[in-house]
Amino acid sequence: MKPATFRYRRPETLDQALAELGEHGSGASVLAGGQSLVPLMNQRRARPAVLVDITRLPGLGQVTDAPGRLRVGALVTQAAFERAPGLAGRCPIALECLPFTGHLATRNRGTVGGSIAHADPRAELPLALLVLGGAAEVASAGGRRTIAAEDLFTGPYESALRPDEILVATAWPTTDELPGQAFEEVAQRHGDYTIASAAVALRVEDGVVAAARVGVGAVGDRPLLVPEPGAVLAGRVVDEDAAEAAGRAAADAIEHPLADIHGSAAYRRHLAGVLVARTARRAWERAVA
Amino acid sequence: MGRALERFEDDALLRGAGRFLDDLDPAPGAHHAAVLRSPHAHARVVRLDATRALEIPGVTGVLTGAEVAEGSRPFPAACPTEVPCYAAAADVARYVGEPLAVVVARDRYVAEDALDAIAVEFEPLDVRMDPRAVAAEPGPSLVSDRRFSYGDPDAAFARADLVVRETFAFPRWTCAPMECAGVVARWDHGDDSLTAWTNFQGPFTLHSVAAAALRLPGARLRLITPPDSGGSFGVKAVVYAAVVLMGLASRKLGVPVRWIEDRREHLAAGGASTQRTTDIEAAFAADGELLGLRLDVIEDVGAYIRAPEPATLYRMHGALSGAYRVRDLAVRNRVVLTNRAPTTLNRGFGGPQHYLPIEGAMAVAARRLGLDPADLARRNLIGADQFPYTTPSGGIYASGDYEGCLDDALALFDHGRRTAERDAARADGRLVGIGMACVVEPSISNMGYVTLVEPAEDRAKALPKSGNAEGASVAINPNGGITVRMSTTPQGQGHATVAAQVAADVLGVTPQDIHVVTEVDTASSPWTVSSGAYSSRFSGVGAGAVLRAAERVAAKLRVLAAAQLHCEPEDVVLADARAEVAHDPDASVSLRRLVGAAHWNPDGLPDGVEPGLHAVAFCAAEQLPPPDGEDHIVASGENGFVVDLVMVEVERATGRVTVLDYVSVHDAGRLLNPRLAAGQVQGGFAHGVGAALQERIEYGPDGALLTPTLKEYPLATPLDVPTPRTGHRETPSPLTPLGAKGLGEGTTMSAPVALQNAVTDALGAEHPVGLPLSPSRVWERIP
Repeated sequence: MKPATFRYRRPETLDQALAELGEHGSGASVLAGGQSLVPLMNQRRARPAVLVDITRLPGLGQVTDAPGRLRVGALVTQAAFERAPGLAGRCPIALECLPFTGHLATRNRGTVGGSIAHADPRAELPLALLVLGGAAEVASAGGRRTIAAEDLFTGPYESALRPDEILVATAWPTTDELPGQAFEEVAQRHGDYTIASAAVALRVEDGVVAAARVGVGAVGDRPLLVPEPGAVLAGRVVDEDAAEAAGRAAADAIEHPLADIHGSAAYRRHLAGVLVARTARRAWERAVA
Repeated sequence: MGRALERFEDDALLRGAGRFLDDLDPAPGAHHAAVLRSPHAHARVVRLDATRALEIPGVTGVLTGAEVAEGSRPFPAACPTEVPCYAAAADVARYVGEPLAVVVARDRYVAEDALDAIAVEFEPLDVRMDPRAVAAEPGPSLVSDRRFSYGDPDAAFARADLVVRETFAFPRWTCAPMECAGVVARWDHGDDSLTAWTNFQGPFTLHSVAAAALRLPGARLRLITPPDSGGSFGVKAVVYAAVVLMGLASRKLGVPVRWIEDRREHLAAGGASTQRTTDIEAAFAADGELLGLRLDVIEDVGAYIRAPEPATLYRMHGALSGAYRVRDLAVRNRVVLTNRAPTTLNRGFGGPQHYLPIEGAMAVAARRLGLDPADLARRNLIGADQFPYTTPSGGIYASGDYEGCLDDALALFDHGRRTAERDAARADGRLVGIGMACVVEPSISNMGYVTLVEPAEDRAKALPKSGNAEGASVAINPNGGITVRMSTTPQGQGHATVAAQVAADVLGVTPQDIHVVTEVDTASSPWTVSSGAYSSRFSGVGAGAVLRAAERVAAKLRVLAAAQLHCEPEDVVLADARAEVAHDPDASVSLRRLVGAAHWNPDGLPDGVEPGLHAVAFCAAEQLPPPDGEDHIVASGENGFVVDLVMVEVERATGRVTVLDYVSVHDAGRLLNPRLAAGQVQGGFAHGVGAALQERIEYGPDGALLTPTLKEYPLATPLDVPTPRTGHRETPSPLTPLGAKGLGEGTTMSAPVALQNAVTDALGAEHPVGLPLSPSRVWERIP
């Protein structure tokens, strides 16, 4: 478990980093916390010719509170995000999913940007960002662009980032828009391989659901936003019946659930429905509290 | 002795000052090895070309499987086999991860680069992954098919009111020690000998196996173990195969070779438990008396029958009837080869696999007879007045009070209240269940039990094998410093602490005065063929050997003191680092002065007393003969007892199992150090919980390994393992010097089946829910 030979670059500025990526293209990999990439390299399942270490880049380590948004710099560690002041009020879904993200030791080094860019279909942060309707801010030598979370995750460990781009920040919509938020997952072992996860964010007006976004993780090749349960919840009080109906709608909407040694397709479909129902209830209770 | 002393080992370990294999540089200039491993479960190696690898700067050389076959013999096996096992495959690879070649280079990075540059052409062959299919037809993959009968099982079944028939499958699982295996091998071309520093754990029977493979006289294979080893739980027994492989690489390339197993190598090929399928029939009378047992066992040992296998299958043979009085039993044991990695020692070693069907069938019978499982057990437990008890298959349970332990467990569990809680929860629609297990925990294995794999007439042709012995030495230097040397290869158990306690008591000093050396060197340590850390043998023969050696030194000290103090040796008391005359407080001499005189003034020694204060002693378990002509075997020198009671809840929506309460009561004889005993129980329990709830080494139907890293293999962590509430009832062993019985494996044997019984009870299932009780599998069984 030793990596293949690679060249190591540690640029001091974003422009230098982008120049490295521009030069080496898909032969380069960006290193931040290294909690996914380095094990893959040690197993030689990833063999970048050049490793561009962005941990010295200035300005990527802050959580900035903007109206309706938390802007999370790419180098903010998962542990730091978890401790960000006011996270419980501003972005409870993130606070709820972070304890499931690896283990304390990996969260101390693993970054929010890294988890999003890695695009693991089982990971928590991509699902949370997707359900909130967040976005990634990416830079290349040619300029900056914003990719909506809905367009960001394109397949297992595949994202819409181009090889010459660096994810510099993620934007997390706060409770202003969708105040009722909840996340839940089932894993064989806490912090590892998710079997299924669900996240719900919703807004209540006039005593009924005015808008709801529902997502499920670890059941497909990427985190999935499923519109059907949101449609079920719209205009309703989320009581047990409504939550279960939303869960069923979510389960039915999953086309080809993943199946592996940790959970059959039938189990994953069922579990996704259960977790959607639970998170819908909790999100409702928070919205009306 | 008997005090809950803090472990002496922990200070250095917690400060990072332990000395593990990879911390040592015993052969300066050693080059680094990486192993090319088969990606196929079964394939012919048509061509293996290392030309490009040899061109890489920094590569010292390559040893191929073909060269291994030329330069060594197959490992001796316990029974005849047509599938010889070498340290690497020459022409056919039989499991994913099997070594095909070794690259040696200036560092591990270059060595792994060179692995990529070796061109191998494979011709895929048919893959056998179904043990039952292999067992169904004679052939090279059905290694052994033996039938045993004790008493009159047919008559027992003829008079039964109830026969329980079930099939139980125990998954292949492993123990994944924190430190993987490692070898530094140095071939000495001067005298054609091999010295290997390795975190091998014994049994040292395997030293003989390795020497035979290398065609070396035993004295020319020198194994040296490091002071610390980061856990083993059985699995580092098999590092002997790597000793042979790296020894051959060192011999060919003329340099010392260092190989440190990485986690992927370990999980693929480092050794795991057997997986066992048992069809059980259990005959009961209407009142619950267990009348007879029939077991049809298929043991999958992986791709080769590699020593010490099929020991997993025969370790429990003296305890086939478990804790019960049943006398009539029939067993069919088949050993099969599949395209999985070869198996090895793994904590519990046959016990978990055996008690799954036995205690599983008891739980089914209790339900069908309308009895509480505790009442059914009580009806069948061997009575306290029946010890020493000889089992139908020949095992000897020397002491015990099984009903007393059951009473303790029921009281600790508050069984009546727990049962009411379960019933109330069920009335609310919750899935709550109670499970139990009663297991006899063998310790101190008879080196001869594995010979049962051969029929008696074949056994008679070979040298008989029996017993289990350990050696230790105690020396006092001229300054009064005391050194204990052991050959039990501890890997974290705390042997040094207990050895110091034992020796200190005998020599009249404090444990802190004793320096314990745990490195084994086969050139100089007092070792035996059965030395090592396995079969929970330390507290019996390991500590026993220290006791005997210390007693010899103490006897000499008494002679020396008697001469100085003008009394008889038997009147000398060793206490407070002094030798005193009993009943005469004024007559004493300090230990330091006494030993100083013995070392510096040998001329003053009493007549007939040899110089030196150094004793080597060996301690053998009593009553461990070879199997007899009727296949009776005293498989283990001692047998402890464990009763577990557990309450679980299954979450209906997700299938997740939560342990609400777990009680484990042990009879391990005399507890030498209760703190260490608690650690052993918790550790054995954690390993059992892992097997019960989540762990399984998975292969695809094509033989692909589906659990190659600890991400896929869900090793139980502290977050997954509750803390059991424990009790001890001590019935001292009459057979071991200190009255102790082993206790390192009991809860590994009991927890899987106790948890399975509890989950089965929670679901109200007619047939037991299979292991592991993972959420997905449990959910599928929810009614």
